[in-house]
Amino acid sequence: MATSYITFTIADGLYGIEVLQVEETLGHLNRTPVPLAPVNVAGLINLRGQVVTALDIRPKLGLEPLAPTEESMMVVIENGGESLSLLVDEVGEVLTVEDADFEPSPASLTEQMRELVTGAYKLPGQLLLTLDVAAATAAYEPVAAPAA
Amino acid sequence: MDGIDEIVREFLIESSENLDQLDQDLVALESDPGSRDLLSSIFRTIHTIKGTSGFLALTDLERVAHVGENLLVELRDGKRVMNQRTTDVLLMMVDTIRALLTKLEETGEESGVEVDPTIAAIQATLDGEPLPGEADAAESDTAETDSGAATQSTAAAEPAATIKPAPEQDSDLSVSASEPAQPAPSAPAPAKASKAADKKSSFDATVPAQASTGIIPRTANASEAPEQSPAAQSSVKHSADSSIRVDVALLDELMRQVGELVLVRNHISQLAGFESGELLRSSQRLSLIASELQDGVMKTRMQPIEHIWAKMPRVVRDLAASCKREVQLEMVGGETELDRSLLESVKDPLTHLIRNAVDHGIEAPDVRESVGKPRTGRLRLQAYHAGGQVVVEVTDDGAGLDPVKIGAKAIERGLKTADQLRLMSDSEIQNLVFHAGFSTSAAVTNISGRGVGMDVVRSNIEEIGGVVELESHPGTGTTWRLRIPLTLAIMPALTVMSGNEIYAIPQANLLELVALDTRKTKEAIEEIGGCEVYRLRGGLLPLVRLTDVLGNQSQPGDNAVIAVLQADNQRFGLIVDHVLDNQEIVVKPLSSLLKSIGLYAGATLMGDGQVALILDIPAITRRELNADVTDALALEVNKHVEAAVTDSTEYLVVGVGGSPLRRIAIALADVTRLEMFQVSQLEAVGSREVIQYRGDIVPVRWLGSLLGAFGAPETAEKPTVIFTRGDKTVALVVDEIIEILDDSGAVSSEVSNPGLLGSIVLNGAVTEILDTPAALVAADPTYFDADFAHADEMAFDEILAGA
Repeated sequence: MATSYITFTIADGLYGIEVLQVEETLGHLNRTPVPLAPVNVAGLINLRGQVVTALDIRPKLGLEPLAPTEESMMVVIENGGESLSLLVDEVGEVLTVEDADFEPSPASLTEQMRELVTGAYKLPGQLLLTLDVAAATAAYEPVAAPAA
Repeated sequence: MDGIDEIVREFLIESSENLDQLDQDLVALESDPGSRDLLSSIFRTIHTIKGTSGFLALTDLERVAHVGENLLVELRDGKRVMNQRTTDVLLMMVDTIRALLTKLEETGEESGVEVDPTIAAIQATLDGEPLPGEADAAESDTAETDSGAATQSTAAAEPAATIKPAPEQDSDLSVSASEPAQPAPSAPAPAKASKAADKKSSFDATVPAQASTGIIPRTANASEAPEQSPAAQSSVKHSADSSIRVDVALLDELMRQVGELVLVRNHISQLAGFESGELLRSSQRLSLIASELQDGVMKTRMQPIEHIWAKMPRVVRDLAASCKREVQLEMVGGETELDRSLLESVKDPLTHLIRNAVDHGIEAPDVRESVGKPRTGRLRLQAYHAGGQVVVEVTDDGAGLDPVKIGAKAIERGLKTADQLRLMSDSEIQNLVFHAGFSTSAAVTNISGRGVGMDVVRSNIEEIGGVVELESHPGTGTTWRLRIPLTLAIMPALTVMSGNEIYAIPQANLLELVALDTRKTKEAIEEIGGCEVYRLRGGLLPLVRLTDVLGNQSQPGDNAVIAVLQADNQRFGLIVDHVLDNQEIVVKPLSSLLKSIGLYAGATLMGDGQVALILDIPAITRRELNADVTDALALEVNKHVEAAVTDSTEYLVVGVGGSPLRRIAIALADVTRLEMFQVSQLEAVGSREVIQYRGDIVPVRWLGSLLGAFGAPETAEKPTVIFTRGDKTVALVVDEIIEILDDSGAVSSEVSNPGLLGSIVLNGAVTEILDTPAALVAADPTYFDADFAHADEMAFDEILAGA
């Protein structure tokens, strides 16, 4: 069995979301900040007349959130009947990967990370980390300092 | 048509809907003859028609319904089995009833429709006799043919009787038209009929009601349809014929697209704003058309509020019976229209309020009698349009909300302290019933009964952008007032800037705007116990900074605008950086991720495509003006006011006359506003001068000439002091506004002139104190209502005493 993934990069990592869950990919659009929103809400974008929430999964990956004005590409996904847009550094190609290459997330990952990153495909020279859409779009509640 | 009473009209509309249902039921019944449900439903409909027609003195209608009912009783009781013949005579009865209704609608009376053949046919069926004189019936048909709508009944009746053996009832009508009993079906007739027969189409047309039934014996359709058209073309519109049913989803989609169109229009208007010529003209036209289209589409979604009122008489009746109350329900303004989706949201709160009014508002008959009220309580439902909103009022003449009891309960439940209560007005205390903590416990209902789930009522109404107001007078009754926006999808809003972002404030919450200019910002905003306040016409307005609400760090700018907002019967000023525009915005829902923040009611798109957030003012009010803060403020204000009262009076010092300039002090409490007017704006009415101010004609007096101070330099613009009392406004023109001072420790003398109360040394200069009431009466002799005259003399005395 093979599955197709839309791939994209965030910081140095290569991530993938199943093609069927992706509505479209977009170039940069201006984001309207939402004061007091959860940390992973990057703002609101105008997607052809619809207001769509843009999400930054960086905080969930343990990275600094993107600055409000920084340009970014986006992957629009559908979750629970609504469209949400994930900020990514660069959208890559659609990769079809063999299930044989898949391995679930190692147990050493924090629970929060394991929810988000379901596993990895061992590509030549690189790992393709697969993301769980529901976890990626959930509100980010900083967990009681896993690092500390 | 004009002669028809509202009640008859309602009866017509209701009956014509019922009859359509009846046709379907009858046919369904034939295939399922034993169905008690169907029989009961048919029986009920006919029974209702019979009852109402009897009530309205429509004897022919009553006779037909009566004999039909007899037949139905036998069917229902199982004494008779449904067969072809019974179906036919029942359908015939339906057609006759319909003809009577049509006649009634057109002429206001039911005469002219032949009912005897139908009655005879039903009676014959009842008696098990063969049908009487078919030929007679046919003859009477042709005799009637000229008399407009009357024909259709007999036309329907006659074939119904003759083609009794017709085997297939659900005939294809377009086919049936080709084999008419009476020739000459005109072209549109089958077309209409076939369209109507296509029940599956979303266009569930109720066009010629006769045709739409789709089941009456075919020839009847073919013959009556052409005759229908003159009636349809006449100026008289059929209640059922002039409307079509449209899928709500389609309307929603249309509404959404109109929303998009409005956005595009906004953008184009913005682009065209700086151009001239063609583009501007086209854009203005587009703007006009878009507005009209928007109105039109909005209207399609409107439904009269009586749709949800219809059940209320029953609710009230049952509840009154179970609570042993006597209640008379009055409903006014049922035709007031409201967006369909809103109608649904209003239904439950309204039912709740009505139940509460009957259950707890209106007293038991004996109690009422003992306090001198009629035994029967009055409950009034009223709906009307006001200020772009729909207002629905539920008024009872019951016991009202007793602030003392509510206050006691609030203390008991720890919602308020006695000190806090002491400072609250009765109306503020009554509004505590909206407090969530007030609603849950049964014990609370004992205070006066009210308060059960009032917080739910309020939150339901606020969810749809509405407001609940409460007005209650202990002993005489309570009014609950729901203010509901006309539609949810598009709303007028004020757009403001805070930092670099645009936010929209719904107009429904906005009372007024106060601009603070650079120099005055710092002085105008004062602090009381850490809370910022602004003096708005003598009252203190608590202030909230939008930047603080949003948790932004930005520094307060030089310029600021206070948007005076109201929600939950609380008023506050929201400080924003500046105000952009008033516009119609299209409300877009927010992701569930953002709803929980509780600050935003939605988002919208600006003309340039940028997303702006819509502020949820009721939520912000609750969040920022939590009762304790308001109470703390009230306490502080109270101290402040007490201090002011005991120590000093504040005066506005103005200058009149030339050199020397006379300093005149006007008690600040009397002053409403200061304005600058162009002298050229003053107009003469008779021997008096007036000015147009905020849409009113306001009498003007020159203070200088009143006090005999002349020689002021002629200037084009004069400062003017505005006084308002109730709906009366008076303007006094002065030559200069000097300062505002209080008289603490001032030396005064009662050396007096006409129009003056004495003089006082303020800020080192002798200042004359104006006898304000006298000056105002000079400007407008009716300024002081008789009722107020005494009160004013009091104030006057106080001034003297203070001076």
